[in-house]
Amino acid sequence: MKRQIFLASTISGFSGMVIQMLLLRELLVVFHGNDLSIGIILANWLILEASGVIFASWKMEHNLRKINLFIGLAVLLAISSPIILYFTRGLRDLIGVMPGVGIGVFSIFYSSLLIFALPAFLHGALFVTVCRLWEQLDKRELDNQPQKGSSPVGKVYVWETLGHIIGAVIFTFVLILYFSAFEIVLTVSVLIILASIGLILCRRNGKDVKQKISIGLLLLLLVTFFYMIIGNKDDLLCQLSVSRQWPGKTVVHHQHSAYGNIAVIERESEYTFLADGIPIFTTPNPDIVRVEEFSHFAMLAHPKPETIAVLTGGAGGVIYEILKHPTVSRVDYTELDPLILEMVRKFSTPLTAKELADSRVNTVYLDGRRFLELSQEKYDVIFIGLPGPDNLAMNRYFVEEFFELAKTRLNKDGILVFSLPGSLSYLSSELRNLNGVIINTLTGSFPYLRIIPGHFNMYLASTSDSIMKADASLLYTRKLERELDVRLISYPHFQLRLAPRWMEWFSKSMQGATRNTNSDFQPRGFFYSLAYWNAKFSPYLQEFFNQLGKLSLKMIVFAMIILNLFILALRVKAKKISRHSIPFSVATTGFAGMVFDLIIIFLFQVIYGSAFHWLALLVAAFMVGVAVGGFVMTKALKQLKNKFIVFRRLELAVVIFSFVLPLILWKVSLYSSNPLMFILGKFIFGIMSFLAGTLVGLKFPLANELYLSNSANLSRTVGVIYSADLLGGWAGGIIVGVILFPVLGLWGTMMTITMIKLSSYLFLILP
Amino acid sequence: MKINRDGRLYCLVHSRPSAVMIDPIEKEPQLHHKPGTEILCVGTVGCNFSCKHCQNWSLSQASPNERSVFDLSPQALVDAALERNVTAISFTYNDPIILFEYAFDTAVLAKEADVGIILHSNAAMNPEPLRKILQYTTAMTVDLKGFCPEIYREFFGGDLDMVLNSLKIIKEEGVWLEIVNLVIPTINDCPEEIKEMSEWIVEYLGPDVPLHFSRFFPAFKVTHLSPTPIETLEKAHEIARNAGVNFVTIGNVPGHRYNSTFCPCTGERLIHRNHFHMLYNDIVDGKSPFSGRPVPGIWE
Ligand code: SF4
Repeated sequence: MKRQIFLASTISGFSGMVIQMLLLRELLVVFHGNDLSIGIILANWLILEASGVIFASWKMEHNLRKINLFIGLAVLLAISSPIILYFTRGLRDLIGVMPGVGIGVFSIFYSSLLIFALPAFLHGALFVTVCRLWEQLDKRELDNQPQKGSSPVGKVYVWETLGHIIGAVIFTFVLILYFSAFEIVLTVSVLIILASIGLILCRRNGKDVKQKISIGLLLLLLVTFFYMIIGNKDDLLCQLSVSRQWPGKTVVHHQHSAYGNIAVIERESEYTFLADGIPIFTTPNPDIVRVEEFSHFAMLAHPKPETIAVLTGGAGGVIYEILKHPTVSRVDYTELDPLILEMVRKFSTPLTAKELADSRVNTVYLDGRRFLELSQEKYDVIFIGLPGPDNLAMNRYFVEEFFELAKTRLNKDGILVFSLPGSLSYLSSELRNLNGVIINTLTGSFPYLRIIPGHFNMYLASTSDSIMKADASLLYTRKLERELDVRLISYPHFQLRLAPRWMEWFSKSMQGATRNTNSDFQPRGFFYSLAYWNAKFSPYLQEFFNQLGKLSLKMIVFAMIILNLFILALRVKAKKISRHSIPFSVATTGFAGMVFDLIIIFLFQVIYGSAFHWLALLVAAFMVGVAVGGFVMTKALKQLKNKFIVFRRLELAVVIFSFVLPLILWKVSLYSSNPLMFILGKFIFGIMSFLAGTLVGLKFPLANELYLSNSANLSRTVGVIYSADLLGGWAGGIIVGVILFPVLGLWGTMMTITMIKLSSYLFLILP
Repeated sequence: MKINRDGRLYCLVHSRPSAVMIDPIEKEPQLHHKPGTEILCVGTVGCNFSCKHCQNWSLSQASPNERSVFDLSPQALVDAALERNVTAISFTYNDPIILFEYAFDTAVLAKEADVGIILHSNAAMNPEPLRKILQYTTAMTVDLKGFCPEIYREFFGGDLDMVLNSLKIIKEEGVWLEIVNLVIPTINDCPEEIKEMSEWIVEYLGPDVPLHFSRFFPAFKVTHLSPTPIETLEKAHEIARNAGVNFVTIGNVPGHRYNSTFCPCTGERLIHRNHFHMLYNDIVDGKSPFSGRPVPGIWE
């Protein structure tokens, strides 16, 4: 029986992790894939899981047939998961959003709650059910003598976590790469049913008719799921759901890669390539204005561009235009996700075939910033083909660290080129700040900056003043000399776009913009981009974001002093509330744990370009830490004399960790250009993730034990402690992604965690 | 945009534009209207529609006090137009109905000063104010956003019938009219709908009203749609021509042959355009030199 219970909890952990990750990826295709959405989605999973825990804890008081409840929940999870996946793809339709229209923060919040309602809730409830099954078994084995020292919660937590780890690793390295979403989810359903059958069989009673019926029904479900996988019904489901996701369009390819989702839509012989649901380019007819202006303004501003680097966004027209300049001898083109170019080659058009087959083009599947760090080449023009600092990964190309790097990789007269959102009618405060923060940052590295205002503002930066002399007639002369065959660029076009009145208007409009700068560890650019995105979709939050931009560490310190005084007063006035110090401490540890986890992922992205590929390992390292911590503490519980003192010390350890973590990660980033440190750094990230998890894991069984000593009710204890942990994590997920990291930066975030943990320490130690 | 003070309605955006720019007249688009000249474009905050793809959303979807403004009276606008020697003052960026009193006062002064007035509008106006302002208007560019009432309501937040009625009034009042149709994939690109729209134009507005099909790119809230395929635009062009619309162009596709205007009789190019730039204009005395056929518009 024990084995079946362990297996059930491992499968429950595995299923929870796989379903969560799969739905997260699917939701990012429906929403806008920025870090705010990810924070909200993850946090909502946690909160729903907590409600499942509370529900099951309450239900357990009245339910003697724990096994039946487990099977009921498991079957519901197995059946609902493929249905939920189907509805996730049709979510837009479900919540009344018209095709093609993006979704704002409020809709992201409630629709992810809607999608996660069943799976996260059921997963939380399954955890408590397994705990109770284990406790029931313990009681029977020990002849109804429950032994407080060996907490069933701790043991199940360890097995459940093991399932999480296996799920995270298998999902990232096998499932997402080689199987379709429906194949994955149906396989999970099969596993859940198998776990249920295993549990029933170990309590086998030949005369029990109900048991036989249950087994029969479970077998029927099993056969159905198998049939769907083997009979390729998952393909049918996939096609149906994809056509709901993109109504009226022909989706010729749809695939998850290690880095995201790539879809290709064909319409009237044109292919639009979408990354996480957002069109990135269309072939063979790109946005001519954007492609020609982006390529040729900079190329013509340079007297003789020979070596070019295009850091992402080159396919579909930009490289095609660059290659028209006869001076070009080499184009180094980087793209992180190989699937994008694989698709471009698969759905080839004369334009893409020409640009990618040209012998001067050297394609590198690597993060562009990393490529520049490793490359010894110097370039005449470096293009950054990104729309702006839309997420933390993109923000890395608009920070002072990157601009300094780019400067060292440019030849004399070299030009760095990128674009940011703009307008030719009005610059809102969001646009002002977004452009302003990047201008402030850029001018720290480049003395000469040429801005060409437009619907997208073009930025040309250089250490040479020659870009300032590139007027309409010079560009036109060079265009003629190079015999460029173009569709838009002409003398009147240069005159219109470079007319001084635009720059005068732009400069005037920029008055009052932020004076902040953007850096890896204080990604203000990302924050202003978030504020700009929010102004489009949730204008009612505009003021909130305006105020958020003004938040400083001083304000947080002030708020913390008030909180601590409040706690102090509360403890003096109402002694009874002291028992809440344990759940409060667990909640703040859950908060800190989530922040550590996210900060590690965020900084990993900052240094390595994408965390997606290592995400599973980082999450797994954290989970292993939680499991090891939980296991060690569960084992040690019996020997511990003064558990409360240990608990307090652990509280202090979290405080110290909030200091140590940023210091170490900052050091790693300083030396990341060294190839050895670059590789070693990844392991240091893994170790820090493990240690963060260990701290959380060590506290959990101890908190259960301490709280249980005041309450004979195990289910209630599980409910309160687990929910406090998840609630803390939820708050961490929401707050860190939007406020702490983008606004306060790394040090501010960690200072905040330190102060929060000091408050909960105070709460614990006060008499 | 209006406030009731002691029983009187006040226009909050009167003399308070947020955007004032000089642009080529082709950008409006007004393609049969003094090609190659410039106009003074003016816009305030607010709009009576809530199009999900609005390029000017930061103005059109904002309220007064949320955006900075210039202090520019109607007279100051007319003076600026005269000083810069532009063809017309164009109320664009947001819908002129929002700033009706401002546009009207300016139009009256502009007419006296012999400065043109262009209204770029969604045409969802009541007949009375429309007729009133048309007395002082030189030309109108109307965004006819599709031909399906449901889509009009849901996607653009407007009423198709009202727009169609306004178009008839503009025609009746003899004000120069050009129509723009932004073709958005899966929203308003159905060939039957385009045919119906073109036939309606021919029947109620006449075959010589220029019709411009424009290519869509993701903007504002419409972040998840692909750009309009060129073939769709070319089909729309063909449908409109077959329905009898004489002057059909394609916009937002620089270098496309149908950026230009052609003689409906001979098929020769009359005005060679690339994007917003006129390369040459062969129209002589308002007529096609190839067929002698009059080409309606404002040429002098
Ligand atoms: S009518 Fe024009 S200005 Fe108004 S919302 Fe629609 S596109 Fe924007």
